[in-house]
Amino acid sequence: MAAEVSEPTYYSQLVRSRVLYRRKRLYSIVVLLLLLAIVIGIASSLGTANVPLSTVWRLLLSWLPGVHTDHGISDTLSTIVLDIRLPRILLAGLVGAALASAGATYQGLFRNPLADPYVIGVAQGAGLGAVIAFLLPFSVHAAGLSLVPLLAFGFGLVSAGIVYGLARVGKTLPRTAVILAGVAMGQLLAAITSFLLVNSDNLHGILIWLLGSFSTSNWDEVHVLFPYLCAGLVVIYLYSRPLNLMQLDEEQSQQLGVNVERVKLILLLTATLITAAAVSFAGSIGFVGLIIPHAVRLVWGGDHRFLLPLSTLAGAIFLILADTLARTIISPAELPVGVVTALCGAPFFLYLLWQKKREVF
Amino acid sequence: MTSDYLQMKGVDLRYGARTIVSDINLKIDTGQVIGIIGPNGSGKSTILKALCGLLVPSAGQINLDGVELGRLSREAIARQIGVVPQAPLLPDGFTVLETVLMGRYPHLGLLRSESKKDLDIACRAMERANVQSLAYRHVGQISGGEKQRVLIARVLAQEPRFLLLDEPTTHLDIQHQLEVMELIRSLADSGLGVIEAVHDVSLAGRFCDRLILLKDGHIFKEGTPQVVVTPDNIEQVFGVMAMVYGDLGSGLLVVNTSLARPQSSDGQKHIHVIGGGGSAVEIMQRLYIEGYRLTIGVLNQGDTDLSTALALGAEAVVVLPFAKIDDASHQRNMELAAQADCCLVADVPFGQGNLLNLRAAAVARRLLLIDDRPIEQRDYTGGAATALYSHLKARAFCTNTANLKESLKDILLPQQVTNAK
Repeated sequence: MAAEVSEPTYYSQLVRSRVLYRRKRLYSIVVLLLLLAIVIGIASSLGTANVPLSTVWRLLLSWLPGVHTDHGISDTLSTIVLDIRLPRILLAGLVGAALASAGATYQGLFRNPLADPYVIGVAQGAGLGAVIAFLLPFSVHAAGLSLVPLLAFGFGLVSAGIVYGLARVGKTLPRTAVILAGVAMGQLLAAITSFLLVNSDNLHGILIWLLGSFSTSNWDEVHVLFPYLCAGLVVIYLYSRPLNLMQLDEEQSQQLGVNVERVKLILLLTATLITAAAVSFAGSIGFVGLIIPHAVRLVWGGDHRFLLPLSTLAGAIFLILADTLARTIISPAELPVGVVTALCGAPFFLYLLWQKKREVF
Repeated sequence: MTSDYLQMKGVDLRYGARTIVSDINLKIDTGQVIGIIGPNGSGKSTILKALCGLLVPSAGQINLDGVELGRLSREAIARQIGVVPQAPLLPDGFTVLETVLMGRYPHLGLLRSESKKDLDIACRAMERANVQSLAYRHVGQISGGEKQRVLIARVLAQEPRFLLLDEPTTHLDIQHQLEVMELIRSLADSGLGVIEAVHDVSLAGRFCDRLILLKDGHIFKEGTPQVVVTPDNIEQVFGVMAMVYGDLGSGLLVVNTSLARPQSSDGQKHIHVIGGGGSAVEIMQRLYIEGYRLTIGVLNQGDTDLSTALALGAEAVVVLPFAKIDDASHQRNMELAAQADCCLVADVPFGQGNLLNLRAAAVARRLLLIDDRPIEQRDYTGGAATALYSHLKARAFCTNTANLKESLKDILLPQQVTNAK
């Protein structure tokens, strides 16, 4: 029969297309990893003091055990690259990765393309915490961190907690309720922050923080954020397939075996913890969490198993580039990185949208 | 212990404080198709929702192979019970293949990714639902009927033992309705237990082994289609007039429905029809839609008029094929004619076999004769029928089929009784 003859070819075609689909995306991940390394290198060489790219590579390579390529490089250059630029670049990468991953997670969870990491009021809470820390007459340090990130982190989590509490209906967490409660909570916190700001002397410092900046980054922050972020990302990647199924309506995903409420809770919690940490160190940098997942989706499609890691890498690359621009473009002065992300991000996003529109229609 | 069943025992279901269904008992065995029929809002979808564990009963129990459903995890339920929802959201971005592969989720969990085996299962599911040619299409770009079949493919990839379908044929054209229903039937024949909410009573009666007829959140009637789909049940539950043409052997049921309601304020009027040879088919249908209660007098088995009478749920006095009217039948015929508000004599040809029908008509309180053709042309008794007929005509109203409705209204006006006598 014809059907029996055509069946194997049909089936092998299907298998082949699946293999190609995965391979293409795995290659993309590898390419982005390489790109990240290159971007880190280039960003380390750029700045007020020009450091040749070859010097940067020698400095970076000498980190590898048993490799000594750093002889003959002056201590000043070494300090500039390894102690001033590199922690800042790495932190920008970590924060970009965190925001983009959290943004992709929120967009998937809420099935809402406008969701971003700040949708549940974390940024506004963190902002309030940071402002309070600025206004306090004393300063405390713990684990190498100053009071600003600590209070920002605490307030960010508390405000997200209140939002969850408000949105909760019995044992379920309706998505619309979360978004509404988040927006309302965010507005309230922003109002309080503005009130405090008007009465403050350190307006410039606070404003820079609120717009987002890496000017105070140090290795301690990198050491804290890196393992923390890795743990969060593992959890998010683990739940990428249920997240795919949750693009269906809730009844369907449950009928297909997804424990929707549990996945929602775990992913919201993880994404919130990641966001809170990122915001605490760098202020509320806008646009990364919104546009990076969208850009990735437009290029590689909406499969969360690839969307999430690709967003992580793209977010890191993007924020490193943005921060490099922010600190070099009007050197020796600096722009807040949030201004750069918005200035570059928005047109790029519009371009992608326009491209895609031409393809579809 | 062989325990292959999904069962509801005394189940009450509510949304908040509003009780949707109460005291539902039902059992789905593997290899069987159960249809739930009933008006909108009678609780069909709610029952299905509870059967897959999405709604916890406020009273009673739902058991899967003897284990209470609430004690199983979502994944465990999804491995056993597959659902085809009524109006599901399918995001445009997914291809048909990806959508079907979602059915494999409960078998994979968080850590494993789809193997060749899963792909193989998805492939066979797509073939069975006849959507393999759509594998790479995006679900946003396929038709409603194709979507429905993709959903069926997905549920097949899930490899459940029980299948719940919520109105699987809505939005489908006639051909696809039949294809989907036959596919579901064949799934049951290959060992699945199926329960489906069905809108179309005819389709339900034709493809289901058993039917559950719901009314206002209760089981109104349960049993084989022949028992459940009767004009009387349908009228009581749906409030419409139904003509059920059923072939008891094949289980093929055809249900025609009509909205017309009984209009007489003083209860349902009873019309006794003297018919035969198909002469009363149109008359009975018209009268039925007008809301009269019908009986029909002596017919031979196999008569077209008889199948119509049965379809309408009308009592018929019946004798064997080609037999003369026997005494008992004649007596019953006369009783009915005498009881009726009006006895109607259809445009029947008369021979020796059914001549007694004319005598029976004589006992009626009011008489209406339909003579589209003159009696002389349909008298095969050599004048006996004509004589009897003229006798009747002296005290009867005469009309034709076209004017039946108006004539009956006239004749049934209260003062006409005295006039006729």
